[in-house]
Amino acid sequence: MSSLAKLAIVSLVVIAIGALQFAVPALTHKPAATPILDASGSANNQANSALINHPISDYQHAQSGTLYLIHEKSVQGETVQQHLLSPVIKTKVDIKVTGIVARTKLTQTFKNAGKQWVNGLYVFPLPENAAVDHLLMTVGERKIEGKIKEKSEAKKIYLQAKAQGKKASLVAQQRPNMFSNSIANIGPGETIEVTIEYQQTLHFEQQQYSLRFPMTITPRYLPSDTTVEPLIQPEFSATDYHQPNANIELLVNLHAGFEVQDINSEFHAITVKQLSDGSQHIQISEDELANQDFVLNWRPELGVAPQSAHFTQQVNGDEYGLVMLLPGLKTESPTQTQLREVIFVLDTSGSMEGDPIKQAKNALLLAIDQLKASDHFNIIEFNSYAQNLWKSPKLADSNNKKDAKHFVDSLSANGGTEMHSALNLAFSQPKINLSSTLRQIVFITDGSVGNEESLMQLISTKLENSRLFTVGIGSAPNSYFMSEAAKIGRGTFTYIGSVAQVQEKMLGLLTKLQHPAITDIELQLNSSRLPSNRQLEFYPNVISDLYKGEPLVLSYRFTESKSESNSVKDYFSTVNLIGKYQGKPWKNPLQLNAQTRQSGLNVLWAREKISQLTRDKRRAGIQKNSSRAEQDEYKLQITETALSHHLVSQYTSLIAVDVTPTRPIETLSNSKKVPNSLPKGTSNQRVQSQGSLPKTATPAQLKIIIGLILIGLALCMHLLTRKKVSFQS
Amino acid sequence: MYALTYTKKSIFSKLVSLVAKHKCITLCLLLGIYQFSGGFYILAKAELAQYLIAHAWHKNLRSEQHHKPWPWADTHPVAELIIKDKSWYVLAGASGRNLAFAPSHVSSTPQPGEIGNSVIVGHRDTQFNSLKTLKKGDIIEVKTKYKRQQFKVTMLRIALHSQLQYLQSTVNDDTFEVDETHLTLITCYPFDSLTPNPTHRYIVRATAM
Repeated sequence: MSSLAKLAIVSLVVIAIGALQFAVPALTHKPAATPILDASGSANNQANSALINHPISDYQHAQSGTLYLIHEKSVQGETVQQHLLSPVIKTKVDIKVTGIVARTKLTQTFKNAGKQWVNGLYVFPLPENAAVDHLLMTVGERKIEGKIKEKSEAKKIYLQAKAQGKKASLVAQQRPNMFSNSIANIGPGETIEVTIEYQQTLHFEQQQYSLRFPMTITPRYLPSDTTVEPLIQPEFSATDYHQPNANIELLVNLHAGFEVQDINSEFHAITVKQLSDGSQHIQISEDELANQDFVLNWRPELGVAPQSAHFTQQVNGDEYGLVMLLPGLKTESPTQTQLREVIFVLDTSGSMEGDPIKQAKNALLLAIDQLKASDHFNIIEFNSYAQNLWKSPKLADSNNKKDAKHFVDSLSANGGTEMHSALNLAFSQPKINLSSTLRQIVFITDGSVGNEESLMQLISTKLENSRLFTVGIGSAPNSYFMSEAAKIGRGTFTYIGSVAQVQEKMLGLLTKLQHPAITDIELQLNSSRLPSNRQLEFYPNVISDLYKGEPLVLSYRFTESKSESNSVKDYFSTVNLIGKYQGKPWKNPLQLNAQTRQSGLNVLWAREKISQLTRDKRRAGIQKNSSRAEQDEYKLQITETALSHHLVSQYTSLIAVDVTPTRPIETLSNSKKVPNSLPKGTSNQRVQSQGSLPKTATPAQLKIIIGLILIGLALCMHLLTRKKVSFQS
Repeated sequence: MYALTYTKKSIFSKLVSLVAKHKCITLCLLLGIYQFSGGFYILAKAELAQYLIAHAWHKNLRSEQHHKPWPWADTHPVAELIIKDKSWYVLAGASGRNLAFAPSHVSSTPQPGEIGNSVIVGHRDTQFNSLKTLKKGDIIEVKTKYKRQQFKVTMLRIALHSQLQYLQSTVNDDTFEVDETHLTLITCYPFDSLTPNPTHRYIVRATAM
């Protein structure tokens, strides 16, 4: 009898081992994995271990401005780069705010604390709309000004200087919001000062201006409450590193152009001083530790009527300008609410299966809840074919809402993505009341379609008075398609990355939808008075609808002919902004008396133009019959614009090269133990993650193991009970 | 005849009484079988779907239209990926469902073989398990409708799932080349682990030769 129990236990163990062996190839296939290491030899061992730690020390992923010192060493004929962190000695930030433009001058001093000649790579994040146009490198007494060059040319110059032992600095754009600065040949114990200047327009929303400076551009430090210890301590002297960065100087000179109130900083203590010329002098408190972005908010004094600001600048005879317009929409006028017709379009194709459809359904249910009783609505779901809830939109009373929710609950994801017919159906919905209703189409999808171009054509031809708002769902939605579709559809694109975000993001969109907007905005010129040899070019060139509390910002260039001397004012006095507000025509003449001189507007204009060209290029690239020549044409245009405005772009870089070689040519950098990880330090930051890479693991092995264990358990129990039975008999 | 029904009945009733007697065992057994087959189904799906996709792919090659591997599918094959001596058919659109059948191309990135960074993701347990044997300098071959192209592995890296820059075109090792043809293969990391939703991804970047 005891032998039976033993047998049972043994069989269980055998089955469990079998299960593990089957499901975990690692146990049986271990030799298969090791040959990589063997084959690549000891030298690559190091590279492999660096590989492991890369997620943290990945230099492409700097959330903050960080200087890496690079050793180049030759390993089996291949050059291996090692990245080390450099301590920053001093950071000085000088921000000048004029109206709605902020110009930031960032000066940082670096030191090579090591004993070798090194090259530096400085990676820094900037706001999405920042235009980098100035680079100054100071080595000892010499100041070297950066020049704008075509990207490949700049790189060539940089590499050449690097090889010759000259000091050089190269600023390049990695992504629209991420820049890198490579610095060649920093001697042991040497300090280098790098100044970068950039310009951006301020964020304005809900009557409040805000300025954000990524404070983490300043040196990293280890917060005392670090929970995750770095795997390997940085090699640089710990005292240097743990030192709180008392050496940050942040100054803001605020020249708003109007009376300001409520100047406050969200995360840092500041001191505000009023200067004699009416501007505000803001300084960050000395002992402030900076681990969070610096955010400064201020608002104009109350009682300011429809606001507009107009700034101009003259560069090389051309007139550049920036117009900001805040329509004085009275919020307390709910007497005449805009009648709305909301058509929800929900993608229920197979690609939405799993989390995406859950997110989409949650979003849709929330949206139905938020509808007002006077609104009309309808729901269209589509997969292989489109299907609508009702033939025509219905009033959003509680009964209809209940029906709609039932309908949404019953949906599941399966089949193809026939977006074309769904959009067609949405656009062809019969209208309840033609003249006064505003039709809003809320399109919830993951955007996995191939025929983007034909869809965009459909949207632009059939849109008429409707507005298309796209809501992106899932881990890697086709955000290009959706943001472009929203742009053509004169709406906005909202991205929801996870179920947890549904509430926040959808409410943001829905409040926007509920408030009346100024629609069909156009810039009206009295072109007859405009001499033909003068040109007005403004960006963005399609003006989207304005919602409550949003400003309209336009950047323009007015080409001046040489013979004429009269100023742009003469023509601009006839410029009107026209649009529709609550079904009535709306007009806003530009207030040109408030014209203020401002520098750097050409840079902003060029940045806008480049982003427009980039979009055009991308769109052209999708078209079937796009040619290489067409792409090159766009590239050329972008390069030209950037070059003529001294701007870093995807095709241009800033380069500064010292004249005299400083590094003895024969001195080569030798290898050094490399710290593979960075201090955490980023934990308090707002990580601007836009979703995540697709999930690529299955629970197959886990399931198989659990299954086998359970079967084994059942077998055992069976054997044990048989034992009991036989005992009883 | 009577005898037959009798024995039949007796087997059935025996079974019922057995089940009634050993509720725990039966429950355990059934759960075990359910889990096991669930796991096995995932592996089998990944293996067998390739045949159907291969069929659709060869039809695709011959005509202008996109052929679906099965009638209710929401996707079509876009390329054939050859790593070492194994080959996989790649589906369009990296949704969870497509990934269960084959490696999938992220639709927001350029098509494989076009200028830019084309991203293909796959399950680490099934097709892309072979990525772990890739080394720098290895050759990956991609067959699309129009051409056959070879890529050389230039970078192997482990990244967090939030590091979306690997989907973008402009970021590469040197940050300078813009208009080149790249291929990025992504799968979950660590390989051969049991956790269903790991936070890390294994990135293989290859450049056209």
